[in-house]
Amino acid sequence: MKKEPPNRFVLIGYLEEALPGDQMAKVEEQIRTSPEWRQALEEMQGDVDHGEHSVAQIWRRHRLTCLSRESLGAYLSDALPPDEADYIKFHLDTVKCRWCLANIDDLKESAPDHDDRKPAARRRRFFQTSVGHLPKNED
Amino acid sequence: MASDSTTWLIQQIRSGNPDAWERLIDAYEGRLAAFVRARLSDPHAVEDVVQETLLGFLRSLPHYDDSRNLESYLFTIAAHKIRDHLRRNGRHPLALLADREGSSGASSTTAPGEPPDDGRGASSLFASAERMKGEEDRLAIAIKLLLDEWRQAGDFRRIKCIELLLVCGWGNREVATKLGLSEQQVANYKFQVIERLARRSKPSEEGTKK
Repeated sequence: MKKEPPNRFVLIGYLEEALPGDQMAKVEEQIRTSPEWRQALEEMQGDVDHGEHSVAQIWRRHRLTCLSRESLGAYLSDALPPDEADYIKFHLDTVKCRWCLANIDDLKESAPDHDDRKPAARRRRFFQTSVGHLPKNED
Repeated sequence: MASDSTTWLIQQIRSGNPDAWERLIDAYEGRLAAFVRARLSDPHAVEDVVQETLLGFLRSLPHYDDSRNLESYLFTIAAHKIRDHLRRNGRHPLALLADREGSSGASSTTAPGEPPDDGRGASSLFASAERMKGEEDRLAIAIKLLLDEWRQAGDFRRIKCIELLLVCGWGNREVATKLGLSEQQVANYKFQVIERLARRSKPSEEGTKK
């Protein structure tokens, strides 16, 4: 693998679990094999632990350019003005926003023509194994 | 910002209503699973992490601030649970840092609602956290105002430019090539944004700005 110098933006995205899956794996490989990357990660983690923040972190934390579910749904249905649709395509394909990509995948899985038996069974399992942990109703 | 229906749903879950809990799972499980799948290929591991996320949410409910965006909060818990899972399996490189004496790596998986464990006093942590939160909120509002302004003007190219520069960390040349701008235009956009953010995010100016 090509050795690249540590990149602060990439490390911030890595620590926030915000990069696309393939990039996260690539960063992990760099960190495992490069003392320079490990050192940079350690310093970055120290900054985060002590409350330092960057514009990139604030931007992501407040999801300033993330799209609503409604907008993403309209994008999938081809029901947006061209400039808005073009921006969403950019946010998904170029920025590769993990949260909006997750929403898009979910919306596709929820589409009426999609086989919904698997998600329904999965959700039932989640409910059954967690409902016992709900706060107790005191009334 | 949480919607009224989300606030109501959370209130119902807090009072132990199983139907409300089922509705939350139906609404959010799919996107959480998709988020986790981007990192973990094993379907069983994905289910485990989503399950831990949902349980983590229930555990953190007493500390959950209703004004927070629920989806973002759940994604934050899921990110912690992914890291925990990878660490347990020796895959996460932060485990290397956590093994070092005095390293703060261990606090990185502290879930929302739990205090960090870095040895500082509670009052110092609180004061620092309050100060940073104030700075963060001012900066977030300043960026949001700029973005709203550009959206209203239909200037999506400027939004793309600044997002690539400030969030993705691309260089001026790469951004110029990607968006069909000159490097000088990119540099100008960047300068204007930095200058405006510096001006708008100062606490002393808040009272005089409209």
